[in-house]
This record gives sequence, structure tokens and C-alpha cells, in this order.
Amino acid sequence: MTNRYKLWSNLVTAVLLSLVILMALTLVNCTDECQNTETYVYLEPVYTSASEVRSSFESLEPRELKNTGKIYRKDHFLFISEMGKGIHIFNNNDKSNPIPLSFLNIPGSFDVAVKGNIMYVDSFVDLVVLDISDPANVVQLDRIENVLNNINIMGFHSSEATGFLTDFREAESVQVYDCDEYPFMPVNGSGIWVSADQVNAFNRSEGSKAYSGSPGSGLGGSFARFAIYSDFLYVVDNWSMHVFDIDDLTSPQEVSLIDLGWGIETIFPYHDKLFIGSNTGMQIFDNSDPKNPTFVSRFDHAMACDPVVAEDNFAFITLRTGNACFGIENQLDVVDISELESPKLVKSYSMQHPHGLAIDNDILFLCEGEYGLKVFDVGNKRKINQNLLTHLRNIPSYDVIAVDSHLILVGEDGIYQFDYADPGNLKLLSVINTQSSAD
Amino acid sequence: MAFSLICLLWNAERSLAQTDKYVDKVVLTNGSVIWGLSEIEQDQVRIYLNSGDSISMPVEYIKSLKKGKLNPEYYQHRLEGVYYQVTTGVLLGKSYQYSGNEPGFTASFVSGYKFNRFWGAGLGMEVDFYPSQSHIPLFLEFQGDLLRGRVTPFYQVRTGWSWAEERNSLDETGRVEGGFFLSPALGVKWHFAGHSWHLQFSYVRQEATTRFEPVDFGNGQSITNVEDRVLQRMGIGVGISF
Repeated sequence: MTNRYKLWSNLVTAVLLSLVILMALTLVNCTDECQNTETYVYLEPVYTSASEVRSSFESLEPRELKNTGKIYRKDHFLFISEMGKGIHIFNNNDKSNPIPLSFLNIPGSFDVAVKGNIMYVDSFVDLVVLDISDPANVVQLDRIENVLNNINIMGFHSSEATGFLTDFREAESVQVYDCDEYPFMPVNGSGIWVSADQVNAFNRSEGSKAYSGSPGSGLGGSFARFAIYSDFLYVVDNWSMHVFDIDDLTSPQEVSLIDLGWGIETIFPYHDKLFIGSNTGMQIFDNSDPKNPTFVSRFDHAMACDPVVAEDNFAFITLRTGNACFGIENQLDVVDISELESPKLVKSYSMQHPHGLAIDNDILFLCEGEYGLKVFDVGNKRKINQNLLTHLRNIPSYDVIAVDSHLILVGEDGIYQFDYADPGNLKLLSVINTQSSAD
Repeated sequence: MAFSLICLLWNAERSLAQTDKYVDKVVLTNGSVIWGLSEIEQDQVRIYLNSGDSISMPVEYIKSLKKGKLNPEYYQHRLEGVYYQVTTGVLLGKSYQYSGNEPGFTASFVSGYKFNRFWGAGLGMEVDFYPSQSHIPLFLEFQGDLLRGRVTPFYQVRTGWSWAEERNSLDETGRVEGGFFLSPALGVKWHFAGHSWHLQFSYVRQEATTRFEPVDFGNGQSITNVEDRVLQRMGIGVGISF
């Protein structure tokens, strides 16, 4: 090897090495190429025009129960809400064999109240008046439009332009973006993200003997948003109470609108009082003047979904965890309401997952959701947990009405009826099965 | 593996036993270079060549004579035939535009055949540790010296396919799939008796796909993410060939 070649070789080596080091210094900051493909499966709203919704009432042949919501009892009839779809009517004269009479197609319906032969049902933002003198052939008498604008507002949107949100359909949105970016939230056009808990939370009801003092009215529940007392219909939405004069049953007239604050869930009439449940507490109204209920006091509690029932000098409130009400406690609160101006907590009892409840002569029926139904003797308000009479573990329970030894329970797979003449030994009378929601 | 390596090195040393490790480097006035053991006899210089022959020439023909230089024959034979190479180093680069540099670690082993000093081919396996993933590429390699000489730049190109380890981090769980692997490199190699050392700078291009667990919001609503990434790194490595 000549010196010249060696010199050239060394020079080339040095130059190459320098170039490589220079390249390396440049590449040190090289960044990955990255792309993220995000597939968002969501529920796309299906809107129906207001005119179509308002002309869609029909009294139909009975059909299978599905997605049952609130229950209502009037005389020997049973009214079962199919959430957002309509009302099933059963002849419950023979409780061991309830007979389906009809299904009322009422889009956007969740609540019901009955006085005489007149049924009041919500239909999105409207109040519908129905003649149920012939339950198999119900007739719509009137429809008061745009009067319940704040009901079921969570997840529901409606306007004259878009119509009513009547259904959801599964849709898919695929976005591709650089990994250095991150979308603020999935873009899906007009999609609304609604969880089942949100939709269901305000559409379960629990019942007890509601002393409405109004002959001819039925029995709803402590989770109901409709209540009848005297000649007035009370409807609560998320932040107000509408008072309707139903002296003329076929033509309700709104006479008062009372601001209740936010998070309002339920109304429970008891004698001449109204108990309003919200997700932060219970409000008590004096209803001695039924046209003008007046605020008396409130009992505050931690944020939770909370149905309330009352009997004599005590109110019973359940608080539960769950997405819809952001609750963090599962418990039963017993509140002394002997002095309405200052309700006092007697005691809190830890529960599993309490939903609705009903009370009849110191017998408390408490639905524990997936954990079943518990029956307590609450004669001693400070030892309720020591007086469990029975626990039906195998019936997930959400709603209950209890009156005159007759218990109507909304379970996960059907409507159960029991005889509770012996509260520690419930006797099953019948089951109205509900169709699986997957069907 | 270790036993094979020892045998290989032992055989190499035995074959070199016949060759003088250190010889004289004689540079002639015409620029030619002769390697051998030299003796000066009056006005003549006799040089004993590696072949066993000897040549004699007048002293005036000699430009320079350096004693005790490493005999090129000692490493020339390593420039052809079966070779093994081990390299280890760091990987530098960033996962995201606004993130800092995220050093990783790399180690590779190659077994191949050099047809001549300028090109050879082999099969290898590498383990690359990135901040949130690790890959094991299997690759085909081409490499060779760029120049003659004991110290020379060299090139190397690796291409293959990787298998990836599952990725776990604090808030995401995904399954990583490997992909195409490409790594060209340039460096400098120092040849010694029986082995050579090298310093190299490489560019690593590694494809990877991460499929994250769907986030289920309930009621049939969910989000699924798939990340398609091409990891780009600059590698600095040192290694040995034998």
C-alpha cells in the first residue's frame, strides 16, 4: 500500500466519520411518525317531528312488557309505564292473574296519574289527558303542549326545529389524527352520549300508601313526578313544580309554577304536605292551600338519588350510589318530621344499593337493586337494622307499591305481586314477565 | 456458543502461528511498501517476506524502514469467510414532537459470511428497548469495508421484521404488534489480529402497531384506539467482529 493511498484512505475515513457524526447530531432529535385511528361507537339521536309525535297516540292491543319504568295503581287497574314508549293497562282484579287490557302508545311518556276515569300522562314536553273509562279503548281528550319543558332533560333535547328525541341508533365515527394532537372530544355530529343509568335514574318509581285525601285518585310512588291531591295535579320537573287545577278533570289548567332549585326528582303527597325529593335533599311544602303550596323547610343530605316516603312523624329517604346522581353513599335515612319547620335526622342505616321504598303501618319495603327486597319492622326507628323481617335476595328490585297487604314490585325481569299480610313471609301472587331488552 | 467461539479463535490463532505477528515496514523510494523481516548487509537490505522468499536491494532504494509493525497478514484472513458480530449501543430520538429525547438500548448478534472485505451477508437478531416498547427484529444484513487498510470506514444495512413485547403503562393497556425493520449504518472499523472493533452510527426505522383495550362507556358506547407508529431512532453503537 502506497503512502499516497494511505493518505487518501485516512482522509476519506476522516471525512466519512465527520459526515456520520454530523448526521447523527441531526438525527438525535428525530421523531416518530405516528397516527392514531379512533373508532367511536355512540348512540346517534333519532328525532321525530313534533307534529308526528303529537299525532301518534293510539290505544292498542296488549303487548309484551319491555323496559318497564314506573307503576301506578288505581282501583283494580294496574298501569305500567314502558319508558318513553307508553303505558300498559292491566285488569288486576284477580291479583294472581292480572289480565292485560291494552297498550297506550304515547311517545315520551314516563309518568302517570289517574283521577276518576281520567289519566294524565307526560309526552315529552306535553301533558296528555286521556279518558280511560274503557281501558281497552282509551281516548285522548286533550294535549297541553310545551308545558313540561324541563322533565327528563338529562340526555333529552327537543325543539320545534329538530323535533323530539325519540330513539337512538348505534353509529360509528372513525377519526384519524396525528398522535401529537388529541381531539377535545369525539366528533360525531349531532350525537348525544347517554348512559343507561342516566335514562333510567329518573324513571323508576317506588310507592307507598299516599294519603292524597282525594277520592278517586290512584297511587303512585315516592319516585313519581306526578301527584294528585284534592283537585290539583302536581308535576315536578328538574327544577320546578307545576300546579294544575283539575277541577274539570278533562281540562287541566296550570295555575302555578314554583321554583324548587335544581336536581328535583320526586314528589310524594302525604296528608296536606308535599315532600319533594332532590339529589341534595328533601323539601317539605305545606299544601293546606292546594292551589298554592308553600315552602316550609328542607333536609339536606349528600348528593345522591333519593326517593322519599313518609308515615306519621317520620320520613324515610334512601340514598344510593350511581352514575346518574353521582352519589357516594348507600344508606337509609330516617328523619323526624314532627316539627316540619326543622326536620331532624334520627339515624342513618348503611344499605347495599337502596332504590325505591314503601311503607305501610311501620312495615318498610326497601328495594336493594340487584341485592333484592328487604322488609323491615320500623316500629323502633333506632333499631331498624335489627328488625329485618325477610330478605328476597333472588329478585332484583327497583320499584314497589304497598297498600292493604298488597305489594307490587318492579323487578329486573317482571312485575311481581305479593300478599304481605304476614310481612315476614311474603306470598307470591303473580308475575308479569318483561321481555329482555335485547329482544 | 461460547465453546464454538473459543474453538474458532483457537483455530484462528493456530493458523496465524506460521506468520510473524510483527514485521518491518519498508517503504521504497518509488512509493511501494514491502512487509517482512529486514536485515541490513553492508550496502544491501535483505527482506524476508511472509511467503518465505527473500529479496535484496541497495540501501539507496529504501525511503524508510520501520521496525516491529503489526503484520497485515495477521488480520487479512479475517476479511473473508465466516464472521460473527456483536454490537451494543443506545438509541436516541423522540416519541412525540413535544416530548424530550427518550434514550433506549440496543444489542445485536449477527452470523454471516464475508465474500471479500467489501461485502458480506448474514442473519442476525437484535433486541431494542424503547421507552414504552421493546422489539426483537430478525434481519438480513449486508456489510463491508469501504477501504483497504487496518482502519477503514464500513457500511452496514439491516432489514427484517420484528416481534414486539406487550406495552404497559400507568393508564393504558395495549397489545403491540411489531413490523418492518430497517437500519442502515456507517462507521469505522479497526482490524486487529483475529478480530476487529467498530464504532457505528445507524438510523433505525421500526414499524409498530398498538391496539388499546376498548373503553366501554356502557349502553353500547365505546372508543377503540389503534396507534400506527414508525419509531425513528439514531443509534450509536460499539461492537466486535470475530
